[in-house]
Amino acid sequence: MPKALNRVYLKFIRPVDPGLFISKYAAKATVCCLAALGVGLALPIHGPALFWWMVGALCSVMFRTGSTFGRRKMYGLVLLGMVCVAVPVAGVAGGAGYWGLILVFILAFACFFLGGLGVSASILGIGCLVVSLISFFDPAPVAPALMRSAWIAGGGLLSFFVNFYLWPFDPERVLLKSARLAVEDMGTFLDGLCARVKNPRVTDEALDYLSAEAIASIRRYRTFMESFNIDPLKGSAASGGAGLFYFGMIRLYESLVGVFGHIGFGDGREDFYDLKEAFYSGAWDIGKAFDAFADMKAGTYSRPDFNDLFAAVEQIQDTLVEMKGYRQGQDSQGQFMAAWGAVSELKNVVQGLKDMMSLAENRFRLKGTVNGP
Amino acid sequence: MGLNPMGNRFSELKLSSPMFRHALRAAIAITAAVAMVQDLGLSHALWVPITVLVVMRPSLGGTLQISWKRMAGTLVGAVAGVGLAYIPLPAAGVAGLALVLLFFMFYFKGRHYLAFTIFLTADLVLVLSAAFPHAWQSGAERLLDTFLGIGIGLAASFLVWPNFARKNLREAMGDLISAQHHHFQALCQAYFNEDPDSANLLSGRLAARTQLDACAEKCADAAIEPGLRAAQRQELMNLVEIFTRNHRTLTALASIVKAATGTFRWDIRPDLEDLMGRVEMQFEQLDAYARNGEEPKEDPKFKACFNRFMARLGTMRARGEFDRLSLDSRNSASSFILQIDRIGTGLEQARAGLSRIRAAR
Repeated sequence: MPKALNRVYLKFIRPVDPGLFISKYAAKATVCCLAALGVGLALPIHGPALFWWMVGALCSVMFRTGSTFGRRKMYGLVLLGMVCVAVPVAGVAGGAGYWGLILVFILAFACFFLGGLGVSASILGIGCLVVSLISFFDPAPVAPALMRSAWIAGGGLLSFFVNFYLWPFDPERVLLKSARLAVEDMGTFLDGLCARVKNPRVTDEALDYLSAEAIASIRRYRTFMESFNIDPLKGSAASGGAGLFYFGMIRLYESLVGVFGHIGFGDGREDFYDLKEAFYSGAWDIGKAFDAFADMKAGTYSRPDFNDLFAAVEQIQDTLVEMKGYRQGQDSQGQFMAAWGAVSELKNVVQGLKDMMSLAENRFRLKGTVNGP
Repeated sequence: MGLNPMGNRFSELKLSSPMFRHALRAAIAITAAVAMVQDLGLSHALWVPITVLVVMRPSLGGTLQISWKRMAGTLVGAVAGVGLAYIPLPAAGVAGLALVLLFFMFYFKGRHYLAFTIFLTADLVLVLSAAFPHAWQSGAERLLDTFLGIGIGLAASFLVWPNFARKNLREAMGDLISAQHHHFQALCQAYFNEDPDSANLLSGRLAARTQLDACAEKCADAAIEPGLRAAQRQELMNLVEIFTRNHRTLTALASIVKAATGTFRWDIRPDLEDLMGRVEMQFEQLDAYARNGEEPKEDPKFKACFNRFMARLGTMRARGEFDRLSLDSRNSASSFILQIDRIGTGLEQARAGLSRIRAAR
């Protein structure tokens, strides 16, 4: 990406749409509708027929539901089927005066009552009700009402085809990209924690925000795994499994939250100055390792020398031992416990990062090139 | 939902069921909206029932939340749409602009309802203005129809078995406390185990997170409903913050548990188990108090127990009883104890917050 564009992405787009996943979905939905319109005009279809053709196309992408790729396809077809049945009935009922209201009532009740079965049922119900209401307010005799179904099916299937077959997802690319984002966000969280060590004015709210961004990225990775029919909870250190890399991320995130839980150690205490400096410097080096890892591309990533990182943590520990906290009385007990906790969790972060890099090598078939942090 | 969700659903087909009432309420409102637009002969008849459909939520607070977003979004979108329609553009320019708006409508769908409504309305008004004369008329109609739909939705929510979100808060809060309690129990057991089951721990935390999100949403819905005092609304938000903090502490605890190697064999273990037992008692009492206001028979005295524990720890350390243990093991134990203290303190704060909400009634 050119430098100027990269800046625009980082400043304006990254905070709202990391990885441009949502933009791609929106672009895809728009293209599906455009393709349906183009084909409709080329056939040529006009007037009310084109309108119903486009209703079908929009219906396919607008009321998208299902947690997996396969289910999304299935629910798309189910919705089109439901709509094709309901639309002619609603069109005829629309001309039946107040009697038609009975159908509206039944449809609305079914939509809200069955919606309680889950999110998918609710979205399908709403989609069906909305399209049925469009037909209801445009009454028609039986034959033209039935023709609406044909136009809806045509436009909807075309849009469906573009969505799922002409422009499908590449699972490995999507997973690698979302993994990179998750590592990047965890690195940013660590940078925030690093800043907090020396500057107590960095608020918990700000760190909470960074933490929420990191967990949202991990969740995104999990959602993509699920949508590609990979069970994220499948796997253990002993038996391996597809979810192992996800577990690695969770483990790392937990350690970062652990550091967050102790990060206020020695606030306002002069005697903790050296320790804070050592902690800052160690954490900063680990942060650089995160940045390098987040740059992983298909086939390769930059692997730091973990001996150096562990040595940095050992050095912080030595500084802490030399402070002889246990001799400083009960008042300092909480401060020292927090400091020990922070160091312990920082060590977990390094270990977690090391484990995750090994897991990434297996999961994405990467090869690490050894570099300093 | 169980093994047979469809069967469970049909067992809800009774007047006392909240789901049945919600479906009936929504169906009445939508049918009334359709009948009204037919009588009034509105030109865009669909807009009114669609608005009703969108704003009808199971609770009154939920309906109020979405209604104001729909209203504000429609107002801004209609004004923007009319403004765009008055820019002299060729047909291709209008189509391009409509596509850009369509893109942003999809962009915000399911993520930001206010922005979604703004782009939806602006796009609709722009397209209609291109097809019919008097651009402002499309905007004004859209506005009026939306207001009418919101009015019908709100009237139904207030008049047909009004379901106040605050009435369901006890159960939501109880479920959240129970989920956090179960996760805490699993973490404590895992801490004393050789090989903690990571998948089980993670699914426990995900369950707790789901309950936290549900409870936070219900609290937000309840806070917007009429009938609560300002102090109670604030206290509800504070409670959500406390439970969120507790969730974070449980996450940190999970990190410690997974990193701790080897069974905990220190002499301090019985005291630590006693401390954990106090926290469990706090969870149980808070759960009962949140659900039915049941006052505890016995005070867990967490703080006193914790202070006693720390004093004993200090004595043992002074005697050098921990010197044989590795630094990592000691660090891990320190962090663990600190997190236990945080959870215990958080639960005390939650208990006090709940008492204040009840006292303010």
